[in-house]
Amino acid sequence: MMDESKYKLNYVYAEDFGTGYFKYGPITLRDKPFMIQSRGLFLRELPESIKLLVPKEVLERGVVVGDDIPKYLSSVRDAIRNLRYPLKDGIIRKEDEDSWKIIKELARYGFSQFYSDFVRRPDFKGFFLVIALSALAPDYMRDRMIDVHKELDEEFGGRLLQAITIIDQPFAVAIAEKAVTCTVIEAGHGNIQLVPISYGPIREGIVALNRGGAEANAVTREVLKDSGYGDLAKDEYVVEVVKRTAGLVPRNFDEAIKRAREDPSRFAIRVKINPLVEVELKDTAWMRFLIGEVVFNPKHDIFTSYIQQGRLVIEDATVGDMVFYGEMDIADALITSIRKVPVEIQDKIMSTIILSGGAFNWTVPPGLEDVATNSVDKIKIMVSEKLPDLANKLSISMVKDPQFSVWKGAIIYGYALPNTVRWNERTKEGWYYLHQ
Amino acid sequence: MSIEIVRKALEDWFTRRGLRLESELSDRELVLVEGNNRVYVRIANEEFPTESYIIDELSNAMRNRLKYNKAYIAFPLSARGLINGKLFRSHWVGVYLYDLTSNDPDKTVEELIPSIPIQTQQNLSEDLKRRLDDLEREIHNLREDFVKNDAMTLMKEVDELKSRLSKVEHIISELLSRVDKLERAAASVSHAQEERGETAVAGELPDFLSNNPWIEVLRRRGGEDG
Repeated sequence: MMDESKYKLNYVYAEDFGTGYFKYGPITLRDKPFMIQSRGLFLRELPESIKLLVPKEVLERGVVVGDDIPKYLSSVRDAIRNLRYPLKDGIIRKEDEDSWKIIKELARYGFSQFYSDFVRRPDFKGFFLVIALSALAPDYMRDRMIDVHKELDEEFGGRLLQAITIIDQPFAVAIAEKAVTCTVIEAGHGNIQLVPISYGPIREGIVALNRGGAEANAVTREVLKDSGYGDLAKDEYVVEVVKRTAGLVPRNFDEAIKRAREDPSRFAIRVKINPLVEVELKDTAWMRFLIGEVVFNPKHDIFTSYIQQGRLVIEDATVGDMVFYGEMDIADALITSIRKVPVEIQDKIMSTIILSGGAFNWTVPPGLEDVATNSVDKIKIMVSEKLPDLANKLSISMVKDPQFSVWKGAIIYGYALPNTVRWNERTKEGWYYLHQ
Repeated sequence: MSIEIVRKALEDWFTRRGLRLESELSDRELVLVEGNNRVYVRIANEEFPTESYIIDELSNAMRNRLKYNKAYIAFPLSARGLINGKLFRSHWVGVYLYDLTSNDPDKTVEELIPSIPIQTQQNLSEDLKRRLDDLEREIHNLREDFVKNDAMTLMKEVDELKSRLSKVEHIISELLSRVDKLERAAASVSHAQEERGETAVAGELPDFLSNNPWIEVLRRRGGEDG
């Protein structure tokens, strides 16, 4: 036991494949992993003169990631088509070979920063690698991840990796947050996952919603159009800034809209995008509440009319055997998730609810506390409207370190999961040894 | 060809290009300032120049070459076919051709060969040498005074430092032996813990690893599965 712990204190390595950023590095980095954008640039249609300057092995692989992207971006003729983000809502399609190429390159980029240092150490016999993926990642994706890393290990002469395991991102959050029984609600760009955890994720209790930050962006776009900024609504950067600055989560949606319509000047806001571009929401200031509300509850008549007009798409979807609900509100999703776990642990599951992910990142501007709220209080309010008794038992909090908690949790998992736990093909858990 | 007319035409052309006349060394030699560069211009006003005349002019210009960042010789347009460009470039001397018959003031002068700029050599003036000698003497005197007056004090201070250093060395060796004892004690405790199957590495763990209930929960999986 002691030797294993000692070895793993130096040689556990974690990779967190987020939709926006890839976070990676060994346990020796302590609190902060390295981080690059989850994207890759294909070196296609390069002018011959540039090809001469590109190292041969890079040219053969045909894709670059991280700091190498800016070096080549101006030389690639069709940068928009060749700059690719491989993970869509944390998932890669089976046949999407381009995305898998980028995943392999991201992993190689990370290892190559550490390998030369580690391989010189006499006691180094390969990393124990933990890969953090979305809880909704299908089995084929887990298998392919192992294959990709096996290939990389071979490229490094079979000395890079000793064993590989895979962990669900919400499970890693629970570990980093030191919560043994809890529910993690991860609100990402494209979906929201509710994962109950009791000494491990309870798969039957997972509920997935087919909306997230992207729907808040779509509503922001409509708000901009209705406010006379149809041209700016096409610019994703402007939409993101306006969403972050002007978006509000209402305590009570109808009440908030009523108050904002009665007193528009109190809710009016100017958003400065840059020294030249400014957006002002004045008569449409009441619409600020639509931006936040859609993440939590898109069932209101206003959203229904948007959907009927084709201005907003919120619908159920199926990936593998998992149904992603479009319109289910967060309180219903939480209640559904809790009901799906065995009754004797339901109490414990609700005692700690951890919110993570960028789509829960809402603030209340000073002076609007009576009508607007944050994500923690919003969920409490929503649940208490449906089941007041349940609301009293809930203890909801935001994750303490939103950016790195998954990586930290993965490192802890790799450190603590004993070497004797072997890979199980059915559950996709345990250590997959590469050389035994 | 009147040298005054040629000089006037050249001066006008230079002024339009932002060069400033610094001085006239003779009626045929101008010194101009162009940014940080000082430019020497020699005017050749022989109406029908020959190759030997051109080489004479180059050798005259070379006398002053190292004093200025750039140097040029201005020849009449009729010299165009006789200029040996390689020779001028190898001496870092440029060539202007002037044509007084031109109606366009901008085309009066043409830069045929640009001059390659060089760092100028500076001669130490007598005054500067004298001041350096004075400074050297002053430093010498100061050093002698310092050695006479302070050597004794310094020696005393060095002696004191030596004695304090030996005390510090003594303290360090005592501390090292105590650390050694402590390490041996810690190792025996850790060995005992290991035998009991406890983790003894919490002190070395990153903060987020220590006191984490998951460590024990996950370790128990080894018992179930392995």
